[in-house]
Amino acid sequence: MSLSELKLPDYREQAPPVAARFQRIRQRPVILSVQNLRKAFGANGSTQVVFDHVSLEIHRREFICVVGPSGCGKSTLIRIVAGLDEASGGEILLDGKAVAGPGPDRGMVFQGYTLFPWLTVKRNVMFGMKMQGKADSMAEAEAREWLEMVDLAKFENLYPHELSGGMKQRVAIARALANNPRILIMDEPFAALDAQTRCQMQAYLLQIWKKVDATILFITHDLDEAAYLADRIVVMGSNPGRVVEFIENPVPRPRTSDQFISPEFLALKKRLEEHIHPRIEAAEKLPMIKLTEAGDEVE
Amino acid sequence: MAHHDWLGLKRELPRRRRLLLTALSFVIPLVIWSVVSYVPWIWHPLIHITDPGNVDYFSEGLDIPRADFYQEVAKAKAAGDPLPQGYRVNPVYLPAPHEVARAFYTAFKTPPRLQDEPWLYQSLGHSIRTIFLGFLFSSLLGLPLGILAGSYRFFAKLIEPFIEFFRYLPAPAFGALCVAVLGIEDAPKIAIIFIGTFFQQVLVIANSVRKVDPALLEAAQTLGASKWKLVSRVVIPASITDVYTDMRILLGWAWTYLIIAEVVGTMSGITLFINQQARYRNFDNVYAAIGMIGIIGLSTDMFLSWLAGILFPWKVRSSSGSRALRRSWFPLLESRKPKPVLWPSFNPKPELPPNPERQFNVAQ
Repeated sequence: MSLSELKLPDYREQAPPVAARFQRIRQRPVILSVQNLRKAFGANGSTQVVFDHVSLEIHRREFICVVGPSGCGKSTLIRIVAGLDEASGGEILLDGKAVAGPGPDRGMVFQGYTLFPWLTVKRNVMFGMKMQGKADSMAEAEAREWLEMVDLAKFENLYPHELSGGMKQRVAIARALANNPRILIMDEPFAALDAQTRCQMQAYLLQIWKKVDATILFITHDLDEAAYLADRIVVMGSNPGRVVEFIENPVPRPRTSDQFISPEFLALKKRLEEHIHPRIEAAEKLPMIKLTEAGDEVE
Repeated sequence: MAHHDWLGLKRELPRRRRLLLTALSFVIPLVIWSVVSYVPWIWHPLIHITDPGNVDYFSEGLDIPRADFYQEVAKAKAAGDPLPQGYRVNPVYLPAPHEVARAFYTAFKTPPRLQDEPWLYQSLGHSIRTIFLGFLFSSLLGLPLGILAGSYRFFAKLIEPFIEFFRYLPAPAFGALCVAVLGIEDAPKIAIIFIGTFFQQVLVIANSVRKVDPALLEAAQTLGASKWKLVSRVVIPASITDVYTDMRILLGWAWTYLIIAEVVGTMSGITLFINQQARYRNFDNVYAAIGMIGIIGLSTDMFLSWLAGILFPWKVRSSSGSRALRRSWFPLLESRKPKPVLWPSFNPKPELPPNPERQFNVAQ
């Protein structure tokens, strides 16, 4: 039986608790507001538009995932939000105030491992706090707390090269959160991890998010990841990059692995697949050149 | 693992083989030298005369090319004269290993022939001082400039083009100039070492500093580091291990400039010693002195390499010792990982004490 024959609910249908939750989220203050953002390369005549007219609002303690095909500019988008790239137009407001340049109010977890290799795990977590001028003893105590939270307190004196990939990213999350950022930006943070570790990390992240006042903007190309983590999913399209749809995730919280085969999850997944993976079209575009004599029996 | 394969491409060898090969790399040249020195029918192009016979220009103790000697022997035979006697030797400029080994000891014990000449240890001390000062002055200026040029495009563009030009000028070419400006004592020698080191140093260090992973800088910026702190807390520590290695290599270069530097002005240091011993035809002492430069250089480098392991504990070293240490860590780390189940349920940890700043209780 194919997916199309499966009787799935509409992905926009929300169970009462889910609808109530979105109602509550919408009433919370807006933390980050991206207004009509545009990014283009090149000058006069030969401009290459990465994306245009991107607007979104993130409410306090909301978990937003941005998904999109490669080349839609989703990474560029959050690099601009983080202040690491400059926009060509539009505005970014944090708590209603325009921001420019990177700052500790927007914490970031990168796809690659960006722990400072010359600092121990604890010192890595203390780094941001010390940059804010916090006293050593205070920063150390708080770093311990954060390491406790990501379950790495025992490894505080190890150097990053002694940790596994998943542990490194947990330290990176602790390091970013230790700064009490207004928003936590995550750029495909688990993409470099193996599938099992990635699943564990996603579960960890939801647990951490539950415990702290964190608003999360999460980039991923993994649709399962987006569906498992997000409140709202921002779907971006390419050529030029733009927002094609805001989807309110119909899967109720707390999320569990069982929900992966729930009707809501599948309905959402199907919708995302339609946006991101137009497989049939791509297959039709490919010219068919027969290079083998083998018949249908190999299929 | 294929332990039988000695020539695995880019594959690390077991420790015992590494040690064996290290020993062999010194033993093989020594064996070749010994064979040439001690096996009388290999090379030995001269005959050391013990009995000149009736040959006019032979005298006892003289070294004669073999062909000439045999010619005279043939002549003497034909004439019925007493035959000249002698044995095969190598030229005086190739002393045997044991002679050089002995010279390592005696060179320190033998007082100089003239009263105002330095002892060997004084010559060595003088050379080390020259190197040290030249390298120190070079580093005092080269390190900050290299770091600035590596960190900021502004300084790179301002500094590097000129230095790029200057480093092609051979340091010895400045010898006469240095003497004219700085006199004939140590100052021009230090200046030559400085010129030979400094310009390479700035470029090499700038290059290492530029190689710092930009992602680390971005991470630091999102953590609130800015401007000078970005350099002092990220760029410098991130590049320090590479810069340290650069400095080790540059110190080696400084040594190669030593002999040239020491003939500038009044000859001094180990160069003076070597030249005088060569004039006295004490080639065993010459080899010993050259060998000492090698030993000092190599042992300094080994010391600095060992020191690096202590100064930079985060650096993953390729020595088997630290790898063994890491291996002993990993089982511990593995056991900390949750069991690999798909979508594991999270083990709730004891909750943090409520922190009003951080906890934000929104009914889920």
